[in-house]
Amino acid sequence: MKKTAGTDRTITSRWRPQTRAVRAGTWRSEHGETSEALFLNSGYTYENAASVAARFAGEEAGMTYSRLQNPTVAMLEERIAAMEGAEACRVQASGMAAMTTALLCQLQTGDHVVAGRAAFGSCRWLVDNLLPKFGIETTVIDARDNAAWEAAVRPNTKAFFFETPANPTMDIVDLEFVCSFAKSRGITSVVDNAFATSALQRPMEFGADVVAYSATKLMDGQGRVLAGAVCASQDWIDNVLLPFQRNTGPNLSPFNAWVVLKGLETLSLRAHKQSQNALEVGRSLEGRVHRMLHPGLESFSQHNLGVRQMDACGPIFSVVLDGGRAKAHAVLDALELIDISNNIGDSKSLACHPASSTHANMGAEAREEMGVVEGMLRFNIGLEDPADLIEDLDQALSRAGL
Amino acid sequence: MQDVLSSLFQHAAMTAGITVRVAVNFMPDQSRTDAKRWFWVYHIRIENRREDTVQLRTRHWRITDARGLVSLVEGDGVVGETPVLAPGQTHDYVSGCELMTNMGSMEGHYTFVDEGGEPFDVAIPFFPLAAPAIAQR
Repeated sequence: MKKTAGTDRTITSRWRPQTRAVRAGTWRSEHGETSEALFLNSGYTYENAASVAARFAGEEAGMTYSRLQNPTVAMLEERIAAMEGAEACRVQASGMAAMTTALLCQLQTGDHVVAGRAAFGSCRWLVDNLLPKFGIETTVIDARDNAAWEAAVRPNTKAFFFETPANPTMDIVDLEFVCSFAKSRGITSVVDNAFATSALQRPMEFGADVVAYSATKLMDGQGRVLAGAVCASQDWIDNVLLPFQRNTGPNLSPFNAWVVLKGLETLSLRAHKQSQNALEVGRSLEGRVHRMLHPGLESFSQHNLGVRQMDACGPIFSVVLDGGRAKAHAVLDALELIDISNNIGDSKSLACHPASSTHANMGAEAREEMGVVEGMLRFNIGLEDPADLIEDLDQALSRAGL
Repeated sequence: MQDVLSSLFQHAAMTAGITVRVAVNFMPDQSRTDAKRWFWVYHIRIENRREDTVQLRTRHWRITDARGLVSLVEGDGVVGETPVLAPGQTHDYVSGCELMTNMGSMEGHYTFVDEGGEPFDVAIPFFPLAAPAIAQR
């Protein structure tokens, strides 16, 4: 590959998705290194004083400070954008930094946000606590209901915020309807695509304006680093997001960016294989548990919508057990292979009890309304042999009396 | 029967006893994407569930494309007709919409008159216009 090909959109836009995952964004130094270089530096030097002034004035190309630009971070941003089909991307220190940035950069006192009620606990905290603290009104709805989106809009509604599939209920939002409805009302749609990633679902193909991520999850894929990302049009990134991000500094470290950059090379392989494993493991549990929530299974109420929007339904599913928290904790404690962990997207299979962990801070009433019941367990199915996972779940359920 | 209609027509709205159902399909053969022309056909079924006879007089459309540009289209009748619907009667028609982007939406209302000549508006449900993704997969 020629040295500048990876950063040339006229070239990378012609590449197929897996090629973009491996090579888009790659910039090589004069050493011609194969693997992308890790620039662990906070500042930059200049040849002379005039050059400093020119660079700060935007009259000369170049980097000024790593809160603003960093070569390794820039490579990751370019790759994520290319894989997403977005004009631009900026990364942040964590998924929640990405969500906070994506919302606060565009909102002010007096604005209104409509958000899906099924969401990660900290996302609900943003909507229920942080935004109202600054005089931004919020309405939380059942995002599966298209009519609810229509009914919730007010003259001052500025953004729609939702995740699909949602954490941990796997609610699917009709991207085509909700994003086009938002567009018709001049509302910015912000979609958290962490459970799927661009390997499995591309919200911009359905008209989404902003796609945000916890890159910590499937993008890294091996439980190594925290990271976040926001993708949007060049104009939105430059004029809405960057003024906020440059001056508040929720930056991703170059080391973390490098780790995620390498993770992206195998994202599609991992996401599809883990989706396949999740289906196999999920099928083995159907009939054994009170409820199974996985969009890939025909028993899921939104299965048709899920498979229409997603190339594969992802590595995550939730189950509801009879016996509430006690039974759910008993199953977790009986697992011998699957780790008890509230992370997701890892190549290792993980399980957690959302009501007492990821969604504990929401309060019982909000959890109940969302469908996060005491008997729910959330699973991230990894790259282990599914037969071993099925055996582990079988013995754990049996020991818990199920 | 209602389940069948709901599965055939993806979008529906009822106003003042009049149900409007919409089924929409992208038409790749009639689109010229290289010339930035995308074309959809929509089938509308109007059902009079009232106990009086009504007549459709005018149509009012709000069409939004992927850039957020809005077009307002108004006119008399639908495809040249101002149908009269007796109680329980339905009226179907097919029309099309062309956009310069690969996605957008339509919504609007019809103005009907009742037997006394009193006008009233009936909503046409919001429906997306979407063409299959053109990105390489």
